[in-house]
Amino acid sequence: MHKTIIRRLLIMIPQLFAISVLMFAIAYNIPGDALTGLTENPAITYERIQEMRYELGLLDPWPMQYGRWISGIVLRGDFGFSITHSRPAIEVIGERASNTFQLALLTTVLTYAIALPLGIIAGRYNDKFIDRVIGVYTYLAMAMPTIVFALINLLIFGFRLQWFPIRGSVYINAVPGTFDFFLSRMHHMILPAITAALLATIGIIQYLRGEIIRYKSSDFVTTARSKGVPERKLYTRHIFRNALIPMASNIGFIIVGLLAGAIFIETIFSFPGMGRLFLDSITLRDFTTANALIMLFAALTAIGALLSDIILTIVDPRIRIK
Amino acid sequence: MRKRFLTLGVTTLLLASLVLSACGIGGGGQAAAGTEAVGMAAAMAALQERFPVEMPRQEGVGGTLNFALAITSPFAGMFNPAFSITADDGTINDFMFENLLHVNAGNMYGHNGPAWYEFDVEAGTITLHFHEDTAMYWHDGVPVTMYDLEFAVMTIAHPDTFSDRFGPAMNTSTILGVDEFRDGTRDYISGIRVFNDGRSLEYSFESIAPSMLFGGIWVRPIPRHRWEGIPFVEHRDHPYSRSDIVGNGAFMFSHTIPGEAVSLVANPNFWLGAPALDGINIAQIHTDLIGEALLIGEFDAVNFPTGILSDYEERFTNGTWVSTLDRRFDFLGFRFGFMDHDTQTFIPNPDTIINCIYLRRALGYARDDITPSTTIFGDTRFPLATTMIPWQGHFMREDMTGFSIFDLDLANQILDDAGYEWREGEPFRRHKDTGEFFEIVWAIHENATNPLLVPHHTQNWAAAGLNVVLYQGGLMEFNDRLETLTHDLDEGVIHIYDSAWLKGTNPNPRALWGVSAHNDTRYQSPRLDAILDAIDSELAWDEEWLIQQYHEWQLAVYEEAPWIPVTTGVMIWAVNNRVVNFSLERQDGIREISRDAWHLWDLTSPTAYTAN
Repeated sequence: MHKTIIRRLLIMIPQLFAISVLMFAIAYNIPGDALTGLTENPAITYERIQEMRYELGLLDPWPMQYGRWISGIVLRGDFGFSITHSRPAIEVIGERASNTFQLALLTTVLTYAIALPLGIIAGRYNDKFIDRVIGVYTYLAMAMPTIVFALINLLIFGFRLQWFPIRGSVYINAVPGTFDFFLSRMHHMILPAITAALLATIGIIQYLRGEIIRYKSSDFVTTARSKGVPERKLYTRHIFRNALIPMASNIGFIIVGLLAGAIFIETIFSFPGMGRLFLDSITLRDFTTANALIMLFAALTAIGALLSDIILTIVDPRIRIK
Repeated sequence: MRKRFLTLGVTTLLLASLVLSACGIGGGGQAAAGTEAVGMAAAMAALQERFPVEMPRQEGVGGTLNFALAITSPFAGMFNPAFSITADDGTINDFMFENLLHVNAGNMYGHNGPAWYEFDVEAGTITLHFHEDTAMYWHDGVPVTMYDLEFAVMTIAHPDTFSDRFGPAMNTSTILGVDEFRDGTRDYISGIRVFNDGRSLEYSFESIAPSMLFGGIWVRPIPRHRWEGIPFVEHRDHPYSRSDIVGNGAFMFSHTIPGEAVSLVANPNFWLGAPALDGINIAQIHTDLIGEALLIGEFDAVNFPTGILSDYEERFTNGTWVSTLDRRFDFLGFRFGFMDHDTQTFIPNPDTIINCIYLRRALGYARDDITPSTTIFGDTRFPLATTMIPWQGHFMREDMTGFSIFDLDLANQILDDAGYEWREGEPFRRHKDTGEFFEIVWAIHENATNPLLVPHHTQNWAAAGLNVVLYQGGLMEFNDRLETLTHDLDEGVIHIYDSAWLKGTNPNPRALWGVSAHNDTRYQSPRLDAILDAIDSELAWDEEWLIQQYHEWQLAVYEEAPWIPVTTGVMIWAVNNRVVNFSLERQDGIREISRDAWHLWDLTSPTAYTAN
């Protein structure tokens, strides 16, 4: 398996290279650059803006700009300087990545903590009252736009009941490194994380329910049942284990998806994460940051696929990646 | 001719500008011709009645004020004045950094700041002196000197820092000797001389103009003692610019959560006296949520988005709306040609239909900005009569109505007289020269309100027989619109465009409306050029004469109509009722949030009030 993992990692290099060329070419052809917004500022002359473009190399042909950028990444690990943020793009991303990672982790934990029991219950007691209740929840969640659900939660639990903070990632006066800081961070993340998790559970619940129903009537379960295997053991040993395998394989993709950031969640809860950063980078034409983020997301997606395969082999030893 | 600057003799700056004639007919005025002309005076008077200018003045109990930045994205967090460019960072910096000169009536530099100044027209110098009794210290206890101001300019001018503050707007690029400093010939700028033990600084220029006294020189110092030994190339990304800040303002940097909040504490050594507050917490919140956040007392003060004012105006029972004039200037521009960026010249387009003055005037009169000012902007915007705004004080003409009226009859009359035939049963007029139908192509960008404005205006223009269509069939993305107009990418297709400027303290219109890339109209005329030259001339040191030139400028713009002023407005501040001494009216009469008053801000309660 080690060889396979190394091979898969090596294949990522040409994939990422192709993505980087494509992405750079597209970005170059989008009207405007990070200095375009300055043309709205009469205190800065057009000549000065052009001078800055020249100094920053923004007037060079795109292959030349690309060469400079890619060689910076390969030779020095330098993803370029964000003009909008006046600092290296990787620093800006690093700052947000920490927030996003923590939120993603909590969301993932909550998603599975909610979805697995509900999916199992719905599958085991299919067409019973409890299944119908869970069905109503999944249909509602499916129909609910993220932005609306987030606003409703914020309105009820943030503004009306005031159980959770309405914005930000931590209290301003919390001292980093202390337990209070951790508690404050958790307090700020719970509402956005639950909001995202409740919506993210739908697919898992439905899929798990379907798998369990399928396995319930499968031959090997019927055989086990006819041999007198207790019902409880039947579920824990045979049905759930098989039904959970596809779920486990999705973890990698789910984590990657959450790391890419939840733009609506981050925006509504004023939570500075990577999703919002990506959107702002495009809007403000901060292509240095946007390109670095795209490369990061592309790498994460490839790693996520690999991770899913690895998890799959751990969960089900019959499967081997080749 | 060495003289100490005297404040312009107009003391009724703002009030005078507010008392505008609702339907006055001045040199450039036009009779309302039976239309509903809503003048600026009436609108502003109503605003005065609707919102106070300050919170009660009384003693408080101190505490920490929660100040909101109602914006859609995290702030950049650049707290070095030499590099910070966003308004949000600027707002935070203003609490921490103090200018050595404050502006006075008419937005000119006054003598009421930590320093005063004098100038010598013949020598081309402007000299700043600390007041004798000014004791100003950096937050680390080191005295502020003029060497710090010199260092700020050196930071801006140094080629390694890429500061966009370098340029003619703040005259950082026109100081004598700056080129030698930039090319490395000298390690100092010879046109800056610090003397009198660091209490005085002289800027030398090739020549000086009155406009330089309207926020046209750099007056914000940077603590030189901290930066010495640190290469300029490292300044932007240094912790001293982001997370370890020492300023000279009313509040001292404590700590920050990048992009979302900054904590400031009172500076006991502030030159105007220790602030009454213990500190200020500044935090970002999404624009759409600020209204609800105010109701639960999450924030004490915020520059409130006027677009959602109507939703909260009545519900904000725990606070007060305080208003101030906005620097916003919205206009309808006409495209007359192209710009050759290499030669810095305009190239007129002789074929464009917009060359016809009658068509431009008709477009102006057939545009209704009165209705949307109420229905969309909740009376926080007003139709604008001239190309200057009330915020610019006595430079704005008070005797014009310009195109601020909505008069379809007049528009139709103008077009009929000009020969734009509108035949019975036909949807639009035919061109006066070709006899063919014609389209007027309009560039306007996407935002929250423009989708509502577009059908309103096109329908009114259609009622005058004018077929106005959107460029490429829809609203433009903001940056796309900027690039298209700045670089003439439309190749003459766009005839009209909507745009806006945030006016600066300098009223000189050359940067916006002279031969400059900022001037997307590409319009130039002997009359406008002559006035611009006059404003820049030595005669302009005569105050009355200068005011005349600005009045003549506004008349000329009305008569030639290369662009049409559309609206200006007010800013609304939402302030919790526990806040006292918060004022938008300074002693010199300017209404704006003022750095020489915020050390007086105080709180009467340890917790913010919540709405009923």
